[in-house]
Amino acid sequence: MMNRRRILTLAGATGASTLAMPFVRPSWAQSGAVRVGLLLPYSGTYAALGEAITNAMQLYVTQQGGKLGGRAIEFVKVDDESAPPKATENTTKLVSGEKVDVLCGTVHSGVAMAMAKIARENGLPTLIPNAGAEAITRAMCAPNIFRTSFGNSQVGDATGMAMLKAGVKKAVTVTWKYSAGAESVDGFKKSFLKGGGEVIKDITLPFPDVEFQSILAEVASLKPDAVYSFFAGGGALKFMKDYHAAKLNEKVALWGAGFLTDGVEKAAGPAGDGVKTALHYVDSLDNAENKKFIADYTAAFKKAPDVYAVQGWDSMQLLRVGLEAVGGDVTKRKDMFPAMAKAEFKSPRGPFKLGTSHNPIQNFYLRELRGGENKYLGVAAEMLADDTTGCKMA
Amino acid sequence: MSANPLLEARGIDAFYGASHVLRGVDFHVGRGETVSLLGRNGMGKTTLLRTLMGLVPARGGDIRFDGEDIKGRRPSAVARAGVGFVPEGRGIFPNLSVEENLIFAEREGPDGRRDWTRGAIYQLFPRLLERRANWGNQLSGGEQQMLTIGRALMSNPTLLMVDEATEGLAPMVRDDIWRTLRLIAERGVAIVVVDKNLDDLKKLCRRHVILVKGEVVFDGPTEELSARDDFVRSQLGL
Amino acid sequence: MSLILVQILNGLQYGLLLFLAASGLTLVFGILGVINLAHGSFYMIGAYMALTLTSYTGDIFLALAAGIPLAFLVGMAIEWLFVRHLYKRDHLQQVLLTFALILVFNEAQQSIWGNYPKSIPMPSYLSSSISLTTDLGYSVYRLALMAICVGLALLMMFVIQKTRVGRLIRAAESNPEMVEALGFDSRVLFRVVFAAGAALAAAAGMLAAPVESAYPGIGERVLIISFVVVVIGGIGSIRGAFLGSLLIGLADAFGKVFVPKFSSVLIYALMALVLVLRPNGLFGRS
Ligand SMILES: Nc1ncnc2c1ncn2[C@@H]1O[C@H](COP(=O)(O)OP(=O)(O)OP(=O)(O)O)[C@@H](O)[C@H]1O
Ligand SMILES: [Mg+2]
Repeated sequence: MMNRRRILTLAGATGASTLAMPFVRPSWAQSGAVRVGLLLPYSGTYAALGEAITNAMQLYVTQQGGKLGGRAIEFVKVDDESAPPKATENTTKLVSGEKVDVLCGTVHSGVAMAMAKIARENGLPTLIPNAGAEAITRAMCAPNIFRTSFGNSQVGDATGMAMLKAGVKKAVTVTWKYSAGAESVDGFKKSFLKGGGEVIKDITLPFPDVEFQSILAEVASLKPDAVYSFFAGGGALKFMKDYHAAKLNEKVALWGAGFLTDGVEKAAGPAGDGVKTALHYVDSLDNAENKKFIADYTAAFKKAPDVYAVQGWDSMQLLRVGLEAVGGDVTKRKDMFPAMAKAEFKSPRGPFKLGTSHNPIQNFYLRELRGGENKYLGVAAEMLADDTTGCKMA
Repeated sequence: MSANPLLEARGIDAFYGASHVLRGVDFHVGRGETVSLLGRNGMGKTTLLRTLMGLVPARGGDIRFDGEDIKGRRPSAVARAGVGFVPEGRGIFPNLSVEENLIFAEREGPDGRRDWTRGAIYQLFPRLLERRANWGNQLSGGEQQMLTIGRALMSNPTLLMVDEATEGLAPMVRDDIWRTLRLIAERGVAIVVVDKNLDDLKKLCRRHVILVKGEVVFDGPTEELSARDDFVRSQLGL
Repeated sequence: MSLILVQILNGLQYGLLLFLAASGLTLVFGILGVINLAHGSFYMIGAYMALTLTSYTGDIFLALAAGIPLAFLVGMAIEWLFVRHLYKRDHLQQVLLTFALILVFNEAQQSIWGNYPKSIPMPSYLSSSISLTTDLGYSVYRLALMAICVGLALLMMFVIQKTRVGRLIRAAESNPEMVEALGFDSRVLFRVVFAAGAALAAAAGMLAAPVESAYPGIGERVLIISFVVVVIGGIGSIRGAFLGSLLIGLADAFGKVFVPKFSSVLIYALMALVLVLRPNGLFGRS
């Protein structure tokens, strides 16, 4: 009896695995490449960010001879259009349709949340090269999800510290009314209120509205010492220009999370002069990695990299650590993820390591925009970690 | 039938989607001739005028106007060839003043004549002169009808096609319209007129055409129409 | 100057600019009967044309002089290539084709001008700011922009009320078939109207460029709000578009400051209210 049963079990197992073979071929069995699915915006307001992230990732892999951990890397791109309603479908396209081995995305927090939900369920190695949505490394944290960028409140937190240090006492916050803006302002208040600062008013406008005139008039009437703002891209550029044209900059210092100026330094022109921001990167950082990164990136793409490129670059550094730990076998997740979680490496932004919830612990730098360049003024917050509230791994 | 008619249509077929509305219609108008087009509701009178105008595509047959083939031409080309159109429901431009409605259509005729000036129209319809500054939609039904006729005349047409010009108007206003149409006919403009009032039509027109379900069942002079009174009345449902 | 007066100024300025963008949309919708989703793309093209043409001419107004005829030609070409096939088709097909045009225009924008936001220089003689209050300045360019918009609005109303072309446009808006039956080739008229609409949107994009900058997706934002203007003002009505734009501008300016919680829905609430009171819009005809 015993014997017969064992044989049956064996036969069953063999049958099952034979059947399953065509569908879930273990990737080490393939002589082929590790397929990295890129869910990024290649059109719309955030297209420039998606482009920078992709460029840097490709550059890193190319410099490694096209391989990480001994395996060739193949990128599969899907334009997420920064459209949350399409996020699930687009993620599924990569996961089930393209059967990627690694998932990487994205810029828009709403899209990233939908992606992270799917990633949590199927355990695929997942890298987040920008979106700062808090939940991803808080309540929704997962062993397979790693962020190489920042948490929204982390940036605000660091900026608040810098503003206090600069003597700001009364501030007004201005941002788009969406979760990233709210989280950024929360982070700002965390340090700013604790340090004795006062927030007179939180002003929001609908995303991605760029009619700032009425808001600027209100700021003028409130007479704060400074404004803390969270904007990015075209909206950020317009905000700085309108702020300047309204002559507000003469009385009320304009501060913001670093995204305010990144990518639009030159375009802002004189309107950007004197805008102070904090961010985990500034291109004038004096370290060897950064210098080489800037030189190589500029040579390859005929334009200078930005913080988004750095984040893309580091996501490949992190993937490399993971793949090297398992000899390129992405199915050995049990070994791959802890190796990535413990990874420490040199980034163009300075030292890089991850906190318990897989969000970077990193330096934040105080920068001042002047003459079309972000000048490095010092460290605003040293090796700052983000809150891990609600993360069961922490 | 004269040897060289102004308008000559042969074997016209027209459709709305799948429904066959005109079936091999032959229709002609001589120079300066006045012709009535009769028929019960839905028999295809309006469709025939619109097809001649180029507003509804003619599938079969051919249409010649003033010796030229106009089948398949755009309505604007037909209009410029010398056809003035007064549509059912009038088609006034409500957001143009009375005067603008007239100026809008101002053009010399195909023969280079400019008989119908604004002055001439105001003479024909003194009411319009009084209301020249009013918007099109501020006019009474009768005034609107005068304006549409006047507007069509402003392009100095050689043929005027009038669809149900007296419908819904008070008897006095109707008489006014009939009187004017006679005046216009006396000036040498050929007229095709669709109407329900047989008596008035007999006074204005010398020839009459009856359509039944898209086919011509009668085409003859007033005398013949009067002679075959029973037939005519049955065809018209009178 | 009190906050209220400042907001009136802001609202009027925003509304006037909106009017330029929306007026073309209402004309095309009202006369051609085409729902042109690509209208915002002409605004975007205008913004980027301002970028390129100012780099050649050195001045936004010279750029405008060259850009408006250029946009008119682009409009003619688009009408001839695509839009004229839509006149007899239903709205779904119009929406599909014009949506496809948006994608094409956006792709072209990306490959020609790239993805980064671009700044368009203000003319130096207008780049200063005057003081509205002790704490608040107002860009002289914005004031000039308002004057130009008012000028263009007056010009447009003059053309529409007093000229032969204007008569044609008004007539076509109420009864395009009769226009044709009175001897005017509506193909020509439609092409001109479409091109004029494109040129107006591009002009708005160009004029706004020095304050608005140029960046991907700028057209879609304008498109949506322009549709709201058209619905409020009444399809095809220039006067309606004018009033609707100013209403939205003011609602936006005051909403953001006095009822910030509802500012994002305020203009849509305004639209709903107008639709309840006047289903065809302020100046629309049934
Ligand atoms: N646009 C249309 N689409 C479909 N069918 C139509 C259309 N217009 C008219 N018809 C149909 O074509 C037929 C002829 O209509 P037409 O208007 O030519 O008649 P008519 O003789 O002018 O009638 P009336 O005396 O009522 O004006 C009718 O059966 C009508 O229902
Ligand atoms: Mg009829």
